[in-house]
Amino acid sequence: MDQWRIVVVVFVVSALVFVPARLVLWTMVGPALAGLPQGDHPDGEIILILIELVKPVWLPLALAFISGCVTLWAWTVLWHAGLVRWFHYSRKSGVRLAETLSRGLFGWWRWARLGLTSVVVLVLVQSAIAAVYITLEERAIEAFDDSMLGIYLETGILLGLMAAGVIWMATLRGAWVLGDSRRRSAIAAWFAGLWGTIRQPVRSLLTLVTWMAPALVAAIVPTFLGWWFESLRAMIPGTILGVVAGLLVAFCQVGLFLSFAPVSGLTDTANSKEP
Amino acid sequence: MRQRYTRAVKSLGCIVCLLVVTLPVIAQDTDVASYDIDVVLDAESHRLTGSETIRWRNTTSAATSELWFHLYLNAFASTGSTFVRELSREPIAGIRKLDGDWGWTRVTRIELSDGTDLLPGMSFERPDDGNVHDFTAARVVLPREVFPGESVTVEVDFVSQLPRVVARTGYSGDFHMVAQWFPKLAVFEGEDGWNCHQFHLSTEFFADFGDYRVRMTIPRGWVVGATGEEIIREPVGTGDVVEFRARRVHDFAWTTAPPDLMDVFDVEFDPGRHVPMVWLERASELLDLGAADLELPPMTIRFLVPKTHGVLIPRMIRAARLSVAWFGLYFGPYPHARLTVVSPPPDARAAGGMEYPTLFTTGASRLDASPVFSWRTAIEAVTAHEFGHQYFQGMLASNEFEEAWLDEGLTSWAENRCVSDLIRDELVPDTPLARDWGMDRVLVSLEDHPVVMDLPNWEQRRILDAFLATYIKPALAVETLGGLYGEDRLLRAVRDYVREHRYTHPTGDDLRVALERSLGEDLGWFFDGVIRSDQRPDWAVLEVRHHWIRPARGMTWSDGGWQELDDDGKSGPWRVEIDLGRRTELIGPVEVELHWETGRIERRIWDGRERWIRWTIESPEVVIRVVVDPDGAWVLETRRADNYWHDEEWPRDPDHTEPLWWLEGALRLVGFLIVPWG
Repeated sequence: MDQWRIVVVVFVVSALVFVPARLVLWTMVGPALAGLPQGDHPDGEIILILIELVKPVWLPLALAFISGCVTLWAWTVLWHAGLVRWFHYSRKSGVRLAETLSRGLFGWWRWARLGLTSVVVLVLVQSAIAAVYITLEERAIEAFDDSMLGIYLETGILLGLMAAGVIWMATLRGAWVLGDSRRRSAIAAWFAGLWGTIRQPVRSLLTLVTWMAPALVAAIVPTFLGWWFESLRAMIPGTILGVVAGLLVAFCQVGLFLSFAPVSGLTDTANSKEP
Repeated sequence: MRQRYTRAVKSLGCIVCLLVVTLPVIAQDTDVASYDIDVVLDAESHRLTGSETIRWRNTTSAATSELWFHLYLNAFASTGSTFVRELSREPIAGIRKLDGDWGWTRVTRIELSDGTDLLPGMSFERPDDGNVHDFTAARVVLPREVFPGESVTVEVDFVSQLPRVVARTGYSGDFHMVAQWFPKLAVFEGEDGWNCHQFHLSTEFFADFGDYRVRMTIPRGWVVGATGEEIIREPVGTGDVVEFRARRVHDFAWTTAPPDLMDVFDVEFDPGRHVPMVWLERASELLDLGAADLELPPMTIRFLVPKTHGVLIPRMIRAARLSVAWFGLYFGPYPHARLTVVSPPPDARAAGGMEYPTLFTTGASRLDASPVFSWRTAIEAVTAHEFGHQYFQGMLASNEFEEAWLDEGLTSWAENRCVSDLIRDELVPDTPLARDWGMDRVLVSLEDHPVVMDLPNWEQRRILDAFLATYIKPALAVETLGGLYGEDRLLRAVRDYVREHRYTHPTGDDLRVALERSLGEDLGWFFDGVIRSDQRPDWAVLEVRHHWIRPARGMTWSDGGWQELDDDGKSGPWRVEIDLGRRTELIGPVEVELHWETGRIERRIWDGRERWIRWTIESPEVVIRVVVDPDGAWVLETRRADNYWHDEEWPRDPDHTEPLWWLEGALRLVGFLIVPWG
């Protein structure tokens, strides 16, 4: 567990990227909501106040949110690339944060291409599923027989979720495949990851679920805990809850990524020649 | 004793005679335009060939030598019609563009009962926009004037081509929704002449009450639903002749389809079983009426439902029965023995969500049965809304061109209350989302320019404005009256309005008078400000200041001599200054809640006449929170952030952190979902 530094940095950066958006919300909305008395409010009151206050700053808020998303994605590429390159080239010397990040920085564009490939594939697959659903729906409606519409919709949603899972697994495997110095094409690496996923679906899925189930729980449960127990929303307990949940999510994310190295069967390539 | 008995019998006899004499007169006065129609549907070409006998009575105090007709299928006759032009300017989701599947009505003969040919004197009129390509309104010149109290009988032959289903009329495959299909008289308003408008994209209808007898020839075995009651069905030639009769209605629509496409069935509404006890008790309390006054008659509901929607039938039946119960309890019994509910088949959804007398269409989708959408209350909401029109449009035939808000606004308001009760009383299982005024308030808050309700919809700047002005703002306006004067008083007032104006053409002024009389309040300020103009309420807590009133120091005259004032070192009382402001022109009363440091909560009323007001209160305690309109009585007010003031030195309620907490959670989830793609 000498990767704890990575876990901390992953958590810190993940939290920091949305600070601008948070600042806009806290400064614009927080003071106004402070005046609300306890108990029931008139219908739609909170949403109305949010709209009223956010409407004048929607552009900076949107920019802050989008830039946060982009930064988080770029950062994820960075630490993924850094961990893969560290794993391949310096694993036996122990993880060093600065070295990992610098290695990630140098390999960033290769892994960014892999990430973009996964996004493109995700969009294409989801669009295809949506197109098939819309076509089936139109045909059913034209034929005056919409009895299967529910099944089409539910199947489409299920397929969409499964496809997202498969693409995620392919991306994780592809990231490790891309660490092989003989590989140049990020697209080919992604497809190699897909092929590996198809060949070992159970192993890939078990690894994904093992790490991501607790991560998802950690991402969602604090919100509901704060909803049920309002004392948890106070500054100190709320911050502690957020930090603990964020660290757990980061731990699972790093753990998931590292676990895909042996899943990908690429441990033998460690300490290979650095490109 | 005997003499007294005889006198009593005589008095009773007089009353009975009076009733016998006057009741038909009352009934007759509402029967202005009656129709006797024979029509044949050619299901292959979707064409109707018909002849009608119209008997029109001049119930006004002015004579006329004209008759004006609606020929509304001509709205779909070409790309030049006013309807299509308005549609092309601002397309609406759900209304497809006409693409060669035109619809039209041709009058082939129009004669008086004595054989006088009126066709040469018929001309098309464009009173709204002068569009020469619009043929939806026509005028016929009579050879002599029809004086007050006189009648005229006109015979008309016509051919109507149904378009592919658009704007709630037309065909799709073998399904036919036959609406606005016959030449129909406009409304004569005496000195003001004929009130006849062209067919517009976002307006509905206006017509006189009368009796209808419609004999339709349809393909053999096809199911049929129509306004009124089915009297006869018999096979004739290769088809079936079905006759419907309807009393005291102002329109006639019907639908027909083959039996392998649609199911037709009747269910009973038995008030003993279908009126929830909790509703009866609540209505009794709110309306201050006994159970006997709230008694509803039994009736029959006919459903026409696509074969593939069988799984939704229990929901449809439940929604219809509960709507009949709710509206009946609050606004009086539904006045007809039959109601017809049509759920259009999948490819005819554009026929859904429309009201006609004793018949309405809903918009159920097979997806409503999917677990993905089972939480929605679309079936219940549309059913409640369209049934509500049986009151505010079917019985109260207001002018939907000039005052669309009157019908749609009251109906939307009642629908919201009905669906809210459905969910609150758990009469719709699996519906976790409560229905309240939140969404309507949010919609109104999004208007970028003030919208006037009391304006014909085609004069609104955008279709969204027409929607807000017709449905959302008036519903909120009515609910605001409930907030200001009490839910119970408002419900009683609307009930009185319905009872008072049934079978007439009430206007916004009639509504105002009826509400004022029932509420015992002058509502001029409300109607002038909210309905007739674009004023919006917006109050604010401008500032709150506390001044410590220092104890007087020095000397004072006491006990016959000068004494030094005793400064005990304790805090003196506070002078609290609370500045409240009115940010718009709308003047109205508003409640203000003051929270004192000891936990005491005080409520005061500000009449809102001044632009701002300062309340100066001397008190031993400080105010820690001020809330203007704490109950949200003014649901029309959408700028609410400055309605609240809170002393920063006092701890905040943890409640206020909840929205931010949810936003935090959302950001955490977004972060979680981005990582896989890096």
